[in-house]
Amino acid sequence: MPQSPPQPSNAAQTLAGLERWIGCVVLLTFAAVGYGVHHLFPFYAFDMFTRGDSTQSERIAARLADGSLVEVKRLRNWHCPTLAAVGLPPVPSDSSAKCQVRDLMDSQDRRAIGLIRQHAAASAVGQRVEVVRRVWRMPTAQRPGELFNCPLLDCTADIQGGLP
Amino acid sequence: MTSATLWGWSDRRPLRIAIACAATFDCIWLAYMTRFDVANDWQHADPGPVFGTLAAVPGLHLAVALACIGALWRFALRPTNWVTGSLALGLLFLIYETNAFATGFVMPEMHLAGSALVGWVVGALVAKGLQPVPADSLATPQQIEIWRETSHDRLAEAGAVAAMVANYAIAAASKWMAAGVQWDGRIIRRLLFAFREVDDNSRLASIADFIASHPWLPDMLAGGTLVIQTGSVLMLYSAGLRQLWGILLVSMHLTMTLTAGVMDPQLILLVALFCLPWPKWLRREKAGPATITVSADHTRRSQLLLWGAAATLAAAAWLLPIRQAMTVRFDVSQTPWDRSKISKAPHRKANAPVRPPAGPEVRAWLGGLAVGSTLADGEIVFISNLFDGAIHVDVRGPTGLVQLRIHRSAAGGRPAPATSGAFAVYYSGSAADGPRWARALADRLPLGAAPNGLAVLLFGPKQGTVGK
Repeated sequence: MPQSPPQPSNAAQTLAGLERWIGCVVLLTFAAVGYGVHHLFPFYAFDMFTRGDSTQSERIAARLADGSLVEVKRLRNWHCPTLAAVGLPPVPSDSSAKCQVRDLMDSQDRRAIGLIRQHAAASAVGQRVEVVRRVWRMPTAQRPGELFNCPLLDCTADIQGGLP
Repeated sequence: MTSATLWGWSDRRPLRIAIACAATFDCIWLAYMTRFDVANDWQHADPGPVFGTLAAVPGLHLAVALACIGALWRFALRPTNWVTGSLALGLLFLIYETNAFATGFVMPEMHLAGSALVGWVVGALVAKGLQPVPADSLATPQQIEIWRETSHDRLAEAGAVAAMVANYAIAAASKWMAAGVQWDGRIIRRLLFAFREVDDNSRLASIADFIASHPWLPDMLAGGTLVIQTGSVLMLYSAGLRQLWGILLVSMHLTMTLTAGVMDPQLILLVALFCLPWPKWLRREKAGPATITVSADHTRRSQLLLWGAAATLAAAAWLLPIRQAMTVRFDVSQTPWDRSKISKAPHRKANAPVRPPAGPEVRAWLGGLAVGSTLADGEIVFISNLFDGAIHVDVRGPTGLVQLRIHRSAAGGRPAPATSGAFAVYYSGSAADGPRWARALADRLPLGAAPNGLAVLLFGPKQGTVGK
């Protein structure tokens, strides 16, 4: 049976319909595949902000002799007697319950300890520096958190450049 | 029914350039992170031959990154071609997954450009199948050809926007499924605290502090995020809603940048280009054809193919063990991989403290303990010579690696989880296995004279020294 030739239609409406159809298929496919594989580029379930313990937070920092806190990256020539034994996460073998943190921000720990290892010195130079884990506890959503500085390492290090 | 595009019949090359810019940024950043980021300088799971070789051979890695950037810009600057788009996507996949394998991290913010590229390629393929033919009685053949190309690009743009919307919608769905309205501002406060530098005294830092210390503000931001991400699907409905949500999404990303210091310029670029009416603002709007012809056969076949491909992909995602494979690759205890295979910057090798393996004196002192011996339910994988005043014993077990250190015990030293005569054993790693293995090692230590140089551990974390 001969087919009838395609009929021209309103360009704006026809394209709008096709755009919407393509959009729906792509949207549903991304959702189905993203939840199926969880993470395989370019699909992802994007659940990174739903996991972990939201009642606490933490960041590793360096506490100078005068008590001021600076980022680990501001210091060089690190010498920490117990650095070689520090694993991931850098958990102290004995510490207060307030310093026991669950669901750490792993990337932050890796970067801080990685920087110390990258800029390690063979012998002690510079000033005494304490590497601390700043732990912020937020037991309820309504109250401001409580902040604790939990010592991790006793080191010496040099300050490079001017501190902010 | 009206279109949701804000680009009308204008040339879409700026949109392809936006995708290329964002993906090039991702490609360079991922390649750099794979090779040089100190955060990755740890033991990782085995990446397998393809990604392991890519990570370990810098020349090959660089070649793939450059080829990816070349394909991206060829895709951006020439008329839409699904072949160059697919090639760029494949190379970007290699760069991204190499980074994920070699670092143990996935980087969600690097997904949007890849998603837009996938969507664009899918839309372009559908357009190729549909073969729409624009027509207008007053138009020249050149004008008809331009409209034909633009109609293809319009469908490609629809796919790209839908893929980007999918990222936000999935993020919202994950939050709804995990916590719903209970997803409160504490996660925002957690991020503000974890990502802000402790010595940042800038005005932005004080704003972040203000937000973090007033819980109702993070609650509002969390609620706003949930609304914006959930409502992002409306961008597929109409041009007005696409523009509104484009502004909301850009505002959301800017807020994250300004408060938490999370820089995602490629996301802002993509959303701003696709979801704001630039042709109108720049007075570059163009007239379109009066009619368009799409064959019913082509439509049926394209619909069948697209739904078939989508169903196949979704079935594969759920039925094949991809998810397990993706999870195992980050489990160091399952498939440990020696990252030293990756050649790194020379300074890092020069400065990294290296623990020397046990010499004859230490081996003799430890008696029966050697690499390969069992310790409780773990296996000893490394014993060091005297290093920084201690002997290091690494033990691997079901939950991962624990490092034990034997020090001399003395009054005034740090309290140890296990002691034996004159010796104290400390651990670093899993709190589930560490104390048990420390005890087991202490029980097996000889009571005789220790190697010279074994020191008392005075530094480090001490019980009861938590400062507020």
